[in-house]
Amino acid sequence: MSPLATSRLARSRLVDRLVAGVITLGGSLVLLAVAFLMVFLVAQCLPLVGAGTSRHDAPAASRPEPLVAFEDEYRERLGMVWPDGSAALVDREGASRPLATPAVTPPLRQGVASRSGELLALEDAEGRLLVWAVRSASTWEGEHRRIETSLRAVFTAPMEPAGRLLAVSGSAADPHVLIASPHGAILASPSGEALEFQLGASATAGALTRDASEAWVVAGSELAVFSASGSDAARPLATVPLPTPATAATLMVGDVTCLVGDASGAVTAWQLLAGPVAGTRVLGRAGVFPGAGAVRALAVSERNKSFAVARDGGISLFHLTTRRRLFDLPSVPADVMLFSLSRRFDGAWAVARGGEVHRWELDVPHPEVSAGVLFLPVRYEGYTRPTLVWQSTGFDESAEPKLSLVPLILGTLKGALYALLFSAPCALAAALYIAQLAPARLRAIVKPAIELMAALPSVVVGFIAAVLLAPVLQRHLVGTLTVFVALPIVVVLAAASWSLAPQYWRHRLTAGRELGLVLGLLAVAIVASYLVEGPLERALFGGDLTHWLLASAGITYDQRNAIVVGFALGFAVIPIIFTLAEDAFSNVPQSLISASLALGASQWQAARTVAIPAASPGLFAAVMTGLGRAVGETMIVLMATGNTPILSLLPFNGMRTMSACIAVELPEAPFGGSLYRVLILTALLLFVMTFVINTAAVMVSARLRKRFGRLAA
Amino acid sequence: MSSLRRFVAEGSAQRWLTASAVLVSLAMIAGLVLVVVQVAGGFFWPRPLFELQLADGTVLLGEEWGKEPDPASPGNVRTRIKVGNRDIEGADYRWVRSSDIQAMRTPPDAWLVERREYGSFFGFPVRLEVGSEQVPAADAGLRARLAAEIAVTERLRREEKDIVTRLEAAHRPVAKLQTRLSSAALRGAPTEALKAELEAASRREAELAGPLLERLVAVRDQEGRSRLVLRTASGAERAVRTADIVRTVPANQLAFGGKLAVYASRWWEFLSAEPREANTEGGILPAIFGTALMVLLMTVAVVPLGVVTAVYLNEYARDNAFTAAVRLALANLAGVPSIVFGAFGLAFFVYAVGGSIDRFFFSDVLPTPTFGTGGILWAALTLALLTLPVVVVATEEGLQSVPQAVRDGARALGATRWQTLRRVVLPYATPGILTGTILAIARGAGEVAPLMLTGVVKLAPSLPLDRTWPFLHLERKFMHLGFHIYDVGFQSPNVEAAKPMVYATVLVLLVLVVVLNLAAILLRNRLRKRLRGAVV
Repeated sequence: MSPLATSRLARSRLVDRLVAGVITLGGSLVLLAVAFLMVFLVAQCLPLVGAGTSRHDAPAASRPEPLVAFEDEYRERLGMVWPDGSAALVDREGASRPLATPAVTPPLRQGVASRSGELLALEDAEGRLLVWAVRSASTWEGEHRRIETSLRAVFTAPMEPAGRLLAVSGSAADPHVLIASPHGAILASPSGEALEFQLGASATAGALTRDASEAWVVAGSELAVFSASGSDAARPLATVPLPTPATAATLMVGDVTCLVGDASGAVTAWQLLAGPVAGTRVLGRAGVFPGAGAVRALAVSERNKSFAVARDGGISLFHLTTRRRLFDLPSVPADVMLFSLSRRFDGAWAVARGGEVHRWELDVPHPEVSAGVLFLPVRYEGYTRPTLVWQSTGFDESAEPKLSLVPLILGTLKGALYALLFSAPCALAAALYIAQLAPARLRAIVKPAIELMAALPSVVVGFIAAVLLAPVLQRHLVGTLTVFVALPIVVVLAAASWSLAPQYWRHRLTAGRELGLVLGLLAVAIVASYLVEGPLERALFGGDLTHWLLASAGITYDQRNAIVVGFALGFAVIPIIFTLAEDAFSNVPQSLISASLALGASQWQAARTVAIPAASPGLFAAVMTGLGRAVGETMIVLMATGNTPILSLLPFNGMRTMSACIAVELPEAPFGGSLYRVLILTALLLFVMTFVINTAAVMVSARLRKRFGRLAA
Repeated sequence: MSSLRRFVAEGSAQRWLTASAVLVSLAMIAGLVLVVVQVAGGFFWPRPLFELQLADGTVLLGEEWGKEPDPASPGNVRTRIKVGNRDIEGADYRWVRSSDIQAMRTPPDAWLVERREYGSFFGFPVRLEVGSEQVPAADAGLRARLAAEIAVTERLRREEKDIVTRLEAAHRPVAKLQTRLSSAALRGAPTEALKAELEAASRREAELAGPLLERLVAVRDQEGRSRLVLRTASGAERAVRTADIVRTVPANQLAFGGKLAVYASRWWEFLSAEPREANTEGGILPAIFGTALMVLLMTVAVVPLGVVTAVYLNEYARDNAFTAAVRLALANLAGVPSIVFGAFGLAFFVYAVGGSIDRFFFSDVLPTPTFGTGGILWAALTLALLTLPVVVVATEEGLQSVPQAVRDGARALGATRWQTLRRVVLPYATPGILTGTILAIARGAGEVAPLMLTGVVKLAPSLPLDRTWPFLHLERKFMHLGFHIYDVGFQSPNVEAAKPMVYATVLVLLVLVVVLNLAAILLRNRLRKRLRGAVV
């Protein structure tokens, strides 16, 4: 062989090996892609599991014992006010910068800061009540953010003698200060007389709503809510006895839930609920968070329903709705004097006795999500009972997202159920007819036609269902449902009378004529139903089904409901079930059918006793595959249902399916947020559901095939 | 009793019942297609213009758009009249009770004027004004003159558009620098050099834009000189700028030929024009274009991978656990709901891959995302994953149709496996590959849900393919026929007026998908015939 030929041979061998490698790689890419898809989706959901992390920064020493402290939004500096009337801003490195204060007579006796850290209430040596507003403005100087902080006196009044400052709230223009008095508490504000809240004992703790319209006061073992505005000002809205004397109280963001910490270490969440008598209100316990050591301070997140409890033993983070204890802060000093969470819930700070300043970095990405929230009834703020709700976005910032997947899963199953109810019998019967009873010529026409049905874009089917079918069904629901009753009756009656016809006629019924005859019967059934509809609706439902439903059962009829979806999804599912079922029937060995016919069975008997049992694994697989398709279908349910996530299996209501929910909400969900991850989890669930359904189809059909294998062999 | 048993055993009732299931299924397809064809097909046909004299004295001019039982008074019928003149009447449609109609006629001189803004105008022509010149409606040459004027203003409009495009091009460097500057400021990077650059760019823009703006003013002024004055049914006069007229239809004078011409020109406009009035009027060209380009990109991605996978499974793979796993993966890929692919596409392609590309190559404009947001590339790749099983299954069928003897023959002549594949097997299997490609295209063209997550928009400001470098903008968002149906049919502010348009879009999509599928079915049937021949 010439050297040239040898080198060409070597080259083509090399190319051959190379190509084999590339093709093998390409083939494995599919496996990799599917595995990666699954792993990637799981990885996107994993952050939902962890509670979050915290890091303790090195403590910074400062001058001893400030009266109050406050933090800016960016957590750059901690402002502190000392009894001598001086104030300073302490940065993260511990460097301190003095801050000018309004005129006071030192020493200051006590002080309290508002939840937002924007108002400070102080009492000075002359017994004056002072309210200062903290103004922080951030400006950009090139790459440096500068935060200018200043203190401004906004309200001065004589202080209640021997009163203790409990809380300050409201705006800089209209601050309100809650002060403990011997007989309860008083609320001082620039607008007129101080309000007196009468209780059995002097108040020990209290909290004000953000707009200072309500005051929650704890006096000894009694918790009371007072209105602080309007005609019923100073009137208690509700009271409740407490088992243990309270030590601290604060309202959560949204001002609906009040947390009360007591000497035993427990924190109880209270909410004002509608009472048994109209117009009255009662205090309901929304949760108890036990712990060891008396509660010294409570701090709430301004971003969500998380809160922190400072006890003698340490500081723990909880989430109200999930009832979860998120985690404990590390390296908590022994004597915490002042403590709060940062405004963005990304940090916490504490000042220990002696003035040591501690800061923590918090990373709590998804405190509002837990397995319980996703799958079990949860009692949300303002609800009296645990419920299953999907409401991912609230009306305002303080509303918490409600992320129960149960309504979505139920909606998905409901849609699939109604779709199969219609499509499975229809498609299986059609497949039986085409494969076993009709001549082959018909099969050549019908099969491609139904394959084309599978190719119709679902957005088209959804559009027609919502725009055309839904209004027609609303008007002719009784008639439409009657068709499905009338059709079998008409067909059976016609067949019965046909069987009495003379043999001569019956032999002249070719397949084409038979189909024409059935088409005629279908027309008869439809016309009959249309004629019967009016009288039937008058006789049974007083003339109008939708009114009758509302009046007699309290069911509202949604125009886009499960019946519409059943038809539309059925449209999408019929070709899938039909094609697979037809294949299953066609695969039944012709010899079996022929043998059966030879023994004297009619065509129908051969189909019933031979073809259906032999094909049953395939039929089962067909229905399961159809179910898988119905579960995952998006556009049809998106368009033909009202997309309301409700817990109802009634055919007259709509639903929201998992797929539609993903399609609607995922584009708007901020990347990395709780909603984003929960929706990805929904997608993963859908993936797993269809995986299980498809695998079940394959497995059961394999098992059934084994059982009926003797027949098919 | 025995006759009943015989009746059941004979099974003609059962036969007929199963046959009726077939008919119900077929009736559903036929019904859907017929409804779409009827509504969409009739939508563009010119309708007669009726002048209605109502009981309360008002006179309406418009087209009849359906009748239904009057919900307010049982036994009566009400008619939906399209009265148009949205800028005067507020709404396009009006329900008129049949009992309120006192007189009804079809005035021969009534016109329907389709405008670029505010929809249709129904009225009677009064005169055409061109500068100081006036052509009265009675003049026989009015229509010819108007057509000439429309042609003139059309040229002007094209020039205006061209000027605007050039102005935009002149502004682009400035806009780019502004984005870079603001993101640099946000990140705290030095901005002095950028500011100087921006000033220079602004000066260049001003130089370029000056004469263009002058010309633009002149063109707009000239456009405004030509106006058609019309009288509404109630007697008020209205002037419509010729530049705003799409076409005029003297509907009651048109013979069949004229109507056919209007019908054809409306369809042509629908297929070839940009949308107007929040997608409820005009055409769907950007949606057709976006669909086509996205599907093309998808095909480029999916066909090689699908063919390689099929070749691997059919020609190279041994019968082992790994091959079984690949097959299982493929089967599952086919069963996974499309929305799951969408979620994956968003999480992986858009946020993970696109976000990384932004961080490495487009960090100067962050936090404004370039690839880290939905775009045509990500949508195409997502759909490629979705349609992969379609291509693999069809290609495998094609490969299986290649007789083993052909392969053996090639190998016996000394060809390597690759040579056999390339020269013998693949050419033989081409119809299969083609079938798979066509089916994938049909599937991709009709799929909407994953696109909603990966880059489709209701109105794209610019096409993903244009005359500015690098011509193909893979990061841009795009419009899509299927999404157009969902969006205009359900999210549009004027759903009632837009509905017939949506039917027309549905018809276009249906024709596209059905033609593609029919082609695939025909190809596959030819392949199967050959397969049968090969076995024998």
